[in-house]
Amino acid sequence: MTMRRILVLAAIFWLFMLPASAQGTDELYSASDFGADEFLDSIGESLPEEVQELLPADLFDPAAASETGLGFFAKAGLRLLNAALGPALRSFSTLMGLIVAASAIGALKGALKSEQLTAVFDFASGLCLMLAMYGTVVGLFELTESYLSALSGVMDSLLPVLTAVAAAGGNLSSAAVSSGGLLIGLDLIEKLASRGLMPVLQLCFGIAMASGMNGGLELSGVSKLIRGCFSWGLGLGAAAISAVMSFQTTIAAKADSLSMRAVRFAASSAVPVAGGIAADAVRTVAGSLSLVRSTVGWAGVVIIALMTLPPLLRVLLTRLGVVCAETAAGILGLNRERSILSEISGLLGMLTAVCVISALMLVYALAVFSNGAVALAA
Amino acid sequence: MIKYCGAAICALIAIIILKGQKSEFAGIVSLAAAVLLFGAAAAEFYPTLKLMRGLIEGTSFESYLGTLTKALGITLAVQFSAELCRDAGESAIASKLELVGKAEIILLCLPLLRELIGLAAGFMT
Repeated sequence: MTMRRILVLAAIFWLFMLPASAQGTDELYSASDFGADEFLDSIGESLPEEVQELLPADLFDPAAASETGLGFFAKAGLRLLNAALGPALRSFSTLMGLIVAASAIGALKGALKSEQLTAVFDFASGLCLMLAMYGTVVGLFELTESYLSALSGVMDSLLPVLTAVAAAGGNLSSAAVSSGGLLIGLDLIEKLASRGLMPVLQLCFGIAMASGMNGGLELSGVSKLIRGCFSWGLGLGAAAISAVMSFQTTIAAKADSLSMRAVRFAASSAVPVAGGIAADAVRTVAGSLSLVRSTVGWAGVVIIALMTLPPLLRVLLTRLGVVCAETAAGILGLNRERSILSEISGLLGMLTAVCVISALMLVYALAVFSNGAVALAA
Repeated sequence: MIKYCGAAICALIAIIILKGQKSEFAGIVSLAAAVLLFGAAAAEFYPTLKLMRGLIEGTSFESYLGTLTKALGITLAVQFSAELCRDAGESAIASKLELVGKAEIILLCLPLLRELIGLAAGFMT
């Protein structure tokens, strides 16, 4: 008996002598573990130069996320506004020059007595003015198309990172739902750029040509209707996708958290002592994943915002110039030129709507993703 | 400006006198006065056109200004000639001349029409 007691005491003493340590669980995971660095490398060339310069160095670092607040966007906005101002002013000055030339041509037409010759000269001058006016803005159509393609490409590259972060947090169903919803949204944007936007622009452009060359035809209402239907359809599609994705993600997240709770309960019940400790450790990991999730979501929002600002500012500033030129044409009594500029203004308005709706749809999707709870933490 | 008005009045007086004595020369004097005054008008327009060309140089409108200037020149020349023909009592020649002028201007606009159609078609590609 004494020997046994000595052995038990020795074993207990020996156990207390063993070194023990606990690992810190503050930053178990980072965005790099889910392919964030590869994502930044893959999109590096597809981003415009001015956007690449503005992106923070450690975009997926939680510290960088706190630095990209209102002040960052204000600085970026001012810088991009400065870059967009030059081309917009050039377009405006060209349009004002054309208005003055049209006014001079109108004065010359008064010297012509023959009605037939006046009509033909009117046709020639209208053709020249229309071509010159559209030449100032046609580059913006291509800019918007390339913006939509680039946006779709960047989000395509970010999607695996988002899915990996969601899956690592136990949100398997919501990862599938979110990625499916985002894929539908990206498909919509891609189809919009390739098969929707340009044909509608072509149609409205053709109507504007016919209306401008033939003073008797007033087709601006038709053009306005087509543009309105397109913008309305796009907005409705984006709202529907966002709403469905939001509800599906919420339901899937609840299902995932329920599954995780069941797993933790089974672990803590089946494995005595260690099961409960394992459940608490999983919650700690979930905190780290939640931070990564928010950081990745916010980084995506920053990239979308910085990609959207350059084309949006260009289109808005050019539209402002067109509206000013339209007002000047109205003051000088140049009705045909005023109607042509009004059509151009409408087309630029449609481009603005397309850019904003596309960006907002993706920002909303990322916000839903960021705000979703990690299933492991349930 | 005074000298052009003076020249026009002198030509008018000469025509009135000639109509009473040698009516066949009245038409020639009328034609000569019209040609001289047209030339003077073109000379007055030239500095304005040169200034506009200098202002528009380098912009997208530069290529179109040449077409517009030619169209304007054709229109004025045809109108001037047609009026002379009508004054001489040849309205048939005048109307055919105007028809030629219209065809000429439309021919001048064909490259622009091609460019306009190409611009619209380019949106699809």
